[in-house]
Amino acid sequence: MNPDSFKANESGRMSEIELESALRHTLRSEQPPAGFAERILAEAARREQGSAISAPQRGQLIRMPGLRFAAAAALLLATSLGIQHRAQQQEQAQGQVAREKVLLALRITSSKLHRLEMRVSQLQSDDASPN
Amino acid sequence: MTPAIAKPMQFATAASRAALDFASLVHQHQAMVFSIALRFLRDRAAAEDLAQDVFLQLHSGLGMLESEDHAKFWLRRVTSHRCLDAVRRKQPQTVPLEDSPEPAAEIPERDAMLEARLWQAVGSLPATQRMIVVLHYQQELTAEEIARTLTIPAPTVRSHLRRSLLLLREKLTRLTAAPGMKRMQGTGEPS
Repeated sequence: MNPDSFKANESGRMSEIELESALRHTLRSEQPPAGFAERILAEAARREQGSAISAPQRGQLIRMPGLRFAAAAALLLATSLGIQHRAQQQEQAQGQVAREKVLLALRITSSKLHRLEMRVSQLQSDDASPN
Repeated sequence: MTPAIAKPMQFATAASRAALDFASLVHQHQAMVFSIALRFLRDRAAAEDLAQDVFLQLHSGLGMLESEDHAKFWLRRVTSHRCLDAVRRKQPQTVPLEDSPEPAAEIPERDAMLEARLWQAVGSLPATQRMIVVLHYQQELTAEEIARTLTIPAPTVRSHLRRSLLLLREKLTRLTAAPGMKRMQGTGEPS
């Protein structure tokens, strides 16, 4: 570094060129510590191994015809099972609604019968009275 | 602000992808990435960590880069944005002059003192201005290139640069006019 690059003039001010030159020196590029690149490469390799199947390997697997068929069959099976499960659920829900309707009808009938019974017994008691 | 975290541009050709070798990119650009982070963050360990993260991000998106130039631009852009994000997460954004740590550089005493003053002055600039100063004086980028890197308009970059120089000159004048500094400049001895 040129020692003059930081020299201030008598009033303590630096010229623009001096300031810019000093800035270039102070902010100069610097090599990272030794082994920095190797550490990054090792970490990248470790992460690559960490992911069980790399993207190109995944691509290769998908290109295998047997595997493709198995994947399609599995997808079809999963879809049909899903549809079946959904139909079953719908059926159960419909059954539940029907059951609730029957129970309600029974409750209404029972209440009506009770009222009729009350009325009949009242009429009978009226007939049996002396006057 | 997170374009820094965005994936590298897509639609790279197979040929260009094959040409981009991660190891050679690391060796070629490690000084650039580390130096931007070091001069901006002013913390060697933090700069090293940030640079490592940037390269690992590059590794995960390597297949999407188009060329060497694209990789260099991407690295510079991601480093700058990550630095700004790191500083913005910590408050306050600016460091008072007297709180700024000095660089541990092995250079002659007189120059070291003067350099430390400038280092302190740069450290006290607001984050965006400091990054613009680093990119301009370290990476020799033009206002237009800085604008593309930081995703801000070029006239804003120019005005930040002008303002930064004024501020730095003012701070440096104040610091070099300090009694210890004058004595040091006169005798070559530390204050």
